[in-house]
Amino acid sequence: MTDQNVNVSGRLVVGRFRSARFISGRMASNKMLMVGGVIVAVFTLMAIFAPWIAPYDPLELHIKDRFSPPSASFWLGTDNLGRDILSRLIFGSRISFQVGAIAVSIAIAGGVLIGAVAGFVGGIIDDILMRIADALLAFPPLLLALGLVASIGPGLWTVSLAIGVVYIPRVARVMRGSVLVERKRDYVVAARVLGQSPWKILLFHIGPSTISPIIVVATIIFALAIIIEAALSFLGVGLVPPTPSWGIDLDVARHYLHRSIWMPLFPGIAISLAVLGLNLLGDGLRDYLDPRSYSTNAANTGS
Amino acid sequence: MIFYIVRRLLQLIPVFLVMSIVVFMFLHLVPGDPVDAILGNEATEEAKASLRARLGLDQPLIVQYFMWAGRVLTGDLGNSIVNGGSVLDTILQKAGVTIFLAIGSVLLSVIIAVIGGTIASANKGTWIDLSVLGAALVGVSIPSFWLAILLMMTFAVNWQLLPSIGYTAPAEDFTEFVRHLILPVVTLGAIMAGALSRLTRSEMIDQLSQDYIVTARAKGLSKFEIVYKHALRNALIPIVTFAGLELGTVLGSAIVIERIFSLPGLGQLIVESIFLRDYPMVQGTILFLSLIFVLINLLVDISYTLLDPEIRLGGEQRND
Repeated sequence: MTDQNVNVSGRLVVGRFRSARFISGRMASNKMLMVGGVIVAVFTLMAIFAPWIAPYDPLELHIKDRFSPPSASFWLGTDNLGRDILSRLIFGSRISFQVGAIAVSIAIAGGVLIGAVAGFVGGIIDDILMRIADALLAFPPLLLALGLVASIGPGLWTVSLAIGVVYIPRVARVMRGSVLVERKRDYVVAARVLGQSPWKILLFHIGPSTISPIIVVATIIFALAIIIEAALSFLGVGLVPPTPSWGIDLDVARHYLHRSIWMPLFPGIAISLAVLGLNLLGDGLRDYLDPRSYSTNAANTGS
Repeated sequence: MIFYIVRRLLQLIPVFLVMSIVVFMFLHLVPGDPVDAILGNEATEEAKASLRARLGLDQPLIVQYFMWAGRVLTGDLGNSIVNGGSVLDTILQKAGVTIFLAIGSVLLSVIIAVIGGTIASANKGTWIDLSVLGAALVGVSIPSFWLAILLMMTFAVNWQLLPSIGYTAPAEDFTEFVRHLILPVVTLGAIMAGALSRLTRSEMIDQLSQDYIVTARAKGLSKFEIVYKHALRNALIPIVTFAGLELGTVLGSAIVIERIFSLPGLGQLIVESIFLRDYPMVQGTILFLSLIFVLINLLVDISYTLLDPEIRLGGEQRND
């Protein structure tokens, strides 16, 4: 009992210290959140309204206007087949965000389930699940995704599936960590004493407080998914041309470096901006949702 | 200490076990019959049956795994479907390029990061600091293959200072070897330097606020001496550790970079083998690279512990 009091008061002290120290950090995180949020919102709108925003069909060939520089009719120029680069970028955001959304959903669904079971049940099941997760985390992510895509084949769904599977262990780790922290909290002990069933406790009591870290990790995985999809498509094993994928467009562009600087320039900017926006959003959300998450996590695993 | 190393080695057993199962499954996740996927639909029944027997596909799955894993344990990664050559020999033959690329870029990234991060921390809050942070943020966000294309376009295509693609062995012509590796190494080094210089900066700021720095300042040491002789020396342990871990990550990025610059390394080998549906080669190379990745992580962990006994104790407590 005394032990618990020390723990609780210790956490409070840490909390106060932190919030005092991070007033400026908090403001910075708000700024990150805002900039990241705006960038991500713009890309999301582009993805949703692509057919209405894009000036041309992304597959339409303007043979007479091949390799044209930015102009009034083609704002970002055209590529080697005379396709409008801007339209391909806008539709490309649709592809990237589709892959991101599907991959994140798969990673979250699998990871939350596995992590929750591991953290809540504990014992040998936890041991086995986490050993498997560690082994999967030991693969370089791109390498594992490459191997999976090599066997299940190219395409939007297979690529998203492969990326999602690659990140399941990462979500599982985060989820297990939060469940372990929450499981020892007083309100869970109280619920258990009151005789609630373990699964109800997991779903209605522990579940809601694990949402913040999951949202943060989901944002980061979204960014990683966009990069990996672009890399796979760039390598020629991801999406299939003529799909307007940023990675495919970069791959095509590298063969015409002597003809056009616009072809490699804009898809790269699009990938970088989207990833930057998601990273800022993720960092900002982490500080905003729970500035103490890391100190309490550390405190709990240490004790 | 020995106990710690032995325990870390034992912990690798389940990691290797799961890794080998995953890599083994690559062949079996192929939709439909992998033999059809490899040979195409027009292949004769005899050819299919012979390949099936060669790959051991006529056995039950579990038997296949143990036969495969048994061979892998003896260092036999199988033979290429395309040219029949030993997978391990091919890998060892191509590994040199990837190793040069990885080590070169990690060294470069440490140099950039230590200089950038140290200067930023010594001038915290000024425009110098902000520009280092800004550059680091760009480095973290832009994909390596885009930077590679931009560098290639600028230095190889427009200014023609460096070769854009290809590779020359160091024994053949050392100058050409260096010239061919400059752009790939700079690409990977610059990308990695992003995260690493952020780490250097925060470690240095941490060190510069310690009591011993105040003492050094009170003793009248110059700012240069304080920053470089005292603070940097202490900040180097986490920096070098992180760089060691990055060496593994480079193995992943190297796949894309080798493709762009046509370097005949392991990354290029994987991608080409995927196109040729040479599954044993894909499996072997991915397994090989992943094992190297795991072993590097282990070495970094152990050297970290050797350097800093405090961390060892903390680490063991956390694990228990």
